[in-house]
Amino acid sequence: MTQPLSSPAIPGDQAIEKYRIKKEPYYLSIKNEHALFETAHSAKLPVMLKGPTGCGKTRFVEAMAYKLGRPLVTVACHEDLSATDLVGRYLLEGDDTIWHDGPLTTAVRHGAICYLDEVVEARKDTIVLIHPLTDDRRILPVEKRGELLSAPDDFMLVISYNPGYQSVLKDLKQSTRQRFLSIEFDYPPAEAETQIVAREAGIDEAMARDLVKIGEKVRNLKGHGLEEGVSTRLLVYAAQLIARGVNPVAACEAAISSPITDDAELQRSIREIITTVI
Amino acid sequence: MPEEKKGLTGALSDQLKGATRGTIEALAMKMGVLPSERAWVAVDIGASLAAISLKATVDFFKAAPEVARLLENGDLRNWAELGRRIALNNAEEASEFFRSSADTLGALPVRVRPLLVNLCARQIVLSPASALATFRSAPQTISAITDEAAAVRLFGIAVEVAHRSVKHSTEVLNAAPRALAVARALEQTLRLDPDPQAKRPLDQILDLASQFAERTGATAAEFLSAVGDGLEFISERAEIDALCSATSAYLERGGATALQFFRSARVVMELGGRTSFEKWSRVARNVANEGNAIVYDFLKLTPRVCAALAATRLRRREADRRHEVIGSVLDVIEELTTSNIYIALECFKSSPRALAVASLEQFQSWARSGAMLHPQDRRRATAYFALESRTSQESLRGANDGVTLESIAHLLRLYVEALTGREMLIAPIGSIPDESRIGDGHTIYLPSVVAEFGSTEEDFRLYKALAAHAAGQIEFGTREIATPDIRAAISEIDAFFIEKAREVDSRNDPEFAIHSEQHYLRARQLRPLAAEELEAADYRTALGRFANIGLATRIFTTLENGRIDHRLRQAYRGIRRDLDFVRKRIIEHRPPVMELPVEQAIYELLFQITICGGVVDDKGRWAYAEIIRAFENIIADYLRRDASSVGDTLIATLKVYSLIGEQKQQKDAEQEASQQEQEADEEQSENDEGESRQQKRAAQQQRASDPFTQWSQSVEETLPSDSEMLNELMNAESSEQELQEGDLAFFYDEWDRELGDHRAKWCRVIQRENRRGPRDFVEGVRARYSGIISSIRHQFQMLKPESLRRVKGELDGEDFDLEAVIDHHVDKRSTGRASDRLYVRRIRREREVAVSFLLDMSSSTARTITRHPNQPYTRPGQKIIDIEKQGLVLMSEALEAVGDSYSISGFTSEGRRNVKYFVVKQFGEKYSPEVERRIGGITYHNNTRLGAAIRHAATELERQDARTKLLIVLSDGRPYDHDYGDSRYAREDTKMALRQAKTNGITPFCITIDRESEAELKDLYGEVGYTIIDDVLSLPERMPGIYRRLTT
Repeated sequence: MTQPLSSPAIPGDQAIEKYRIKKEPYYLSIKNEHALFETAHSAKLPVMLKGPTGCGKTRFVEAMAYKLGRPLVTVACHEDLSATDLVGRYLLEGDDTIWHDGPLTTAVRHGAICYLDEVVEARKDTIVLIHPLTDDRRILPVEKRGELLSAPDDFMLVISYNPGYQSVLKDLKQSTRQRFLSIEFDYPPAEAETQIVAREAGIDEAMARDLVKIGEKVRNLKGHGLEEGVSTRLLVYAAQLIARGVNPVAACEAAISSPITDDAELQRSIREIITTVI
Repeated sequence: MPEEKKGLTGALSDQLKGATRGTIEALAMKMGVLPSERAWVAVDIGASLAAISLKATVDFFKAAPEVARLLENGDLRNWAELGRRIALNNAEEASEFFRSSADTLGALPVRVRPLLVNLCARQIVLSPASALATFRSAPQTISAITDEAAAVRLFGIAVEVAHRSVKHSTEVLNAAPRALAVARALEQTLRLDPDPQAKRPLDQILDLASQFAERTGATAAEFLSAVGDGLEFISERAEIDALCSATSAYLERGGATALQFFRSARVVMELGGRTSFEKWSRVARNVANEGNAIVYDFLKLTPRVCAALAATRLRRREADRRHEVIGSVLDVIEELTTSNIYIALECFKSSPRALAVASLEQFQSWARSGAMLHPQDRRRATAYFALESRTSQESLRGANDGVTLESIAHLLRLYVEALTGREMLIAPIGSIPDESRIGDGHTIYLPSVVAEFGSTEEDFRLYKALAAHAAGQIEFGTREIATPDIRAAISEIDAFFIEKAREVDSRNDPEFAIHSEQHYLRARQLRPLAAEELEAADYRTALGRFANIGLATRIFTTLENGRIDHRLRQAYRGIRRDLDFVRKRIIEHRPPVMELPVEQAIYELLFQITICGGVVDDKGRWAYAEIIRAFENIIADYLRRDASSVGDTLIATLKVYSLIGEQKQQKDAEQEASQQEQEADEEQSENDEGESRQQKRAAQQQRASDPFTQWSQSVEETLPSDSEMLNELMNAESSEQELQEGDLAFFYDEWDRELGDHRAKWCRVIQRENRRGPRDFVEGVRARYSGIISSIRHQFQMLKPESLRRVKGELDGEDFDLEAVIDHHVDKRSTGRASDRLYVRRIRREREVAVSFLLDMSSSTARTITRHPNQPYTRPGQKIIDIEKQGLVLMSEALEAVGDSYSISGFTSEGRRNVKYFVVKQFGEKYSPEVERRIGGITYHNNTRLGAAIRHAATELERQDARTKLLIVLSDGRPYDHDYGDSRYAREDTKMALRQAKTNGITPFCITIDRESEAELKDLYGEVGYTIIDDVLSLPERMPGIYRRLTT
């Protein structure tokens, strides 16, 4: 559903080429996550990125993939994501049935980095599928073809997980979580976030600082009706609007208060915070 | 003559047997000066005196001749009788009395003397001590009164009172000097009276007092003391005339009523001015037509209502506005009295409460619509005007042009929580403060309504600015603890006072020392702070180091607000707009500095410099140039810095404190001098008098709108007293029990059938964890019903859905559906058209049920039910509550088996403010030994206010995320509580609560064991489902079955 399933059956360099990142993504290292990730890659250990949405997990993986020179196969997980979707399936083409690699298989074949975004969203039985890849066996059984793919050294499995959801159903099972190294992510500290917002949107630092301040204040509301704080991504969006000449208050409303909640009162109080800061 | 004298001497020596001959001779000589008739009188009395005390007799004879010159015959006898009675009690005092009599009486005006003797003669009957006291203090009383005619009348009144009540006659004399002084002061005020013929106020007061005296003794005394409370608010002749004549008119209704009238009238006139007084007296007259009792209630109510009116809303305005408001309220009330007095009174009673949240205009329309809605129905009108019914609250708020705190409290809370990142509470205060209070770090006090600017947006901006300030206090560390800055400030403050103490010591001037702070310092010894105190030192610790804590606190509050303002402006450029906007308003409301007394002017200047960004008043700037410069320097040095902290404020406080302290000392000296001059001048010229009067009045007005009184009085005051006063006014008949630790309180509306409306926030539900009992109960039940439990578990496990179900023929799925694929190929080959539904898919199926058990724990469940009524001892029955508990245990087993989410709670009530909701098991809580103990701890108490409990349970249930929500009420009968109206009222409320739950997606179901009144039950639960358990003892077994039926 998320990845086109029409990738050619034959493994080839062209197929994987589109997963390669051409341009260096901007990522500002906050702690030592670069080093940890690189070490994990060389030690062939799977990594779990924990943190709220929009704080830079995906961007981090992209940056690392670029740095390590590996293609990056990203799968956004959802509750209908089945094992077939990940591994691959036979499709009817004319009178023939043709095998199509799923994204995970593609990644394993080519020693790419496979990034399963929001892995808790996937069905439990799907998650079990990755277990043999995450221990020292590093294999992927492709049952339908009776194949047992063994992952090359460059292959790396990365999952992301947002512990912010309070629902019991959205919790990662211990048997799964204990297979991963974990890198904790949070919204960057104010200084770093200012830099990120300013750089990503091309606005001046004073404005970026105000936006970050708004972000910080709104994040205080988490748990008071707000499930999640405003993400760095949204702050960047707001900054981009401002950079294109949108009135700052209007930009913040469009990019901050309105997206994160539908509760009118909450929106109003966020608006008041916006007008307090700018 | 010698013959007579001989007789006298003989008579004397007869009586004074113990006295020496010489003494008797001398006495007889003295007596000789008296006219013979009176001498005999004296001897006569002397005779009876001698029987009591010889010494007193001698003193009597010594004093008699002189006293006789001062008194008439009859009075002389009274006087002597007085002495005799005193002697009966205490001979020593009697001697003293006789000896001092001549001087005492001589000091009095001639006409007063007989009155005094007369009065004392009456008082002695009750108490010799008080008579003696009256006698002795008479000259003082007279000199305090100065006016002879008045004194004569006063004593006349006292005698009159003494006829009825001796006790009160003393009180009359005690109260009189103050009252008469007040009256004279009033005469001074009204000096330019064009009509010299008119009665003097002094006489008017005395006239009234004697009228009171003619009725009852007590009221005359109380009247005088009421006058003594002051009449300085009267500025015109007509006002005192009106006051007196109206009071006198009420005398017909009895002394107590008239007295109450006078007292209330005073307050109305003082707070509301003359026009209000006229309106009010018209209202009172209308009310009086209804009878004495109600008019008395009305009169009694008036002062409190007026005071509340003046306090709630109008502090921020000048005094004139207060008049206007009281006047307008009375206008409305007068209008209402024409239709129904009782309703008018209800409206009057609740006017302060209404005005606390609404503007005058809103109040008017609210009052009128209330009277129109319920023209004759007093009960409904009472509910309406008590602001209990929802219609009323909506009507009051409906035409709102202001913003009420209630409507935006949540919004502001979120706002403040976002800014500070802390949980905050918002609490209302009655008025709009000029400055934010220094909060306690958890609560933010905001005015309950803002209707200042005429537009909702601008009103809101005021709220926003106030909230931002409160948040600023937290963000910028007003309550920081033990930072280096605070420690530095404390040591600086200590150093300052130690230095000061040393200075004083060096002067070694004992008198000065007493007046100086040294006195204070010695008392406190300036003990250095202990280490742990220093660890916990915050601004309060520092303020406590000041000699004059009140002054320091006052300064600190202003300066800290200034610092917060500055920091806010620095940190948030957006808020500057709102702060400027508010600042503009504050500036508009500043009093002119020049008209303030010096002491206040200094605070005012400090306030303006700190909060308004500079002195607003040009004249003031010129007059106080020096101190202004000093203040500005301090503020620039300490507060207007980047990242200034509370420690900086404290040091600035110290600087300002020392500055103001100096000013104050200087000024005290000046003031003393000028006061003496003033006193000296007072009698000289009328012009001066007029001027000083003006000044006085200006000072008074200023006091009324003193900008500091609101906020500077105390740091961390709890709720302002006016809300308590209001509560008292509304005399909430249902007392609230104290909350225990861990309790949560919720408020729910209640449906009033007669009102046809909800009573807003009528019930208070207290949620509390149920107490823990023994675990054996649950274990015992498990053992007893073990067979049943295992079958129930089995049945319920069957209900548990398989987690996944295969669905064939889907468009997409995990696997091909082999049959469909074959069909597909066959179809394609044969027809060319084939179905795409080729897949098998597994779909999660969930049983989403949340159920809440609500258990009636009222005392009626203590009834015992038995199958063997004839064998009460050998086979005792069971209490209903225990049967219900067993049912719960079985239910829990069943629910654990099926995996539905459930909660168990019980309720009882003691009046509408104390509905208790005991939580036994919450949703999501495990069925743990802890829960088992709580089931064991369920017991019965009090009443059944079912409606409130259902509302609370439904509210909890609504939060659950389940497709099916069940509310199962276990009850043994009809709802009842002592203030829950008649059975019909309770039923209708319960019905309404059930209906509401149903509209909110909850399925209520009632299991009841009351067989007696099925018709009522049908009425109560008919709209929702219910079942009656005939055989109560079978309830435990039957409950799971009922549940299963409901959920499958």
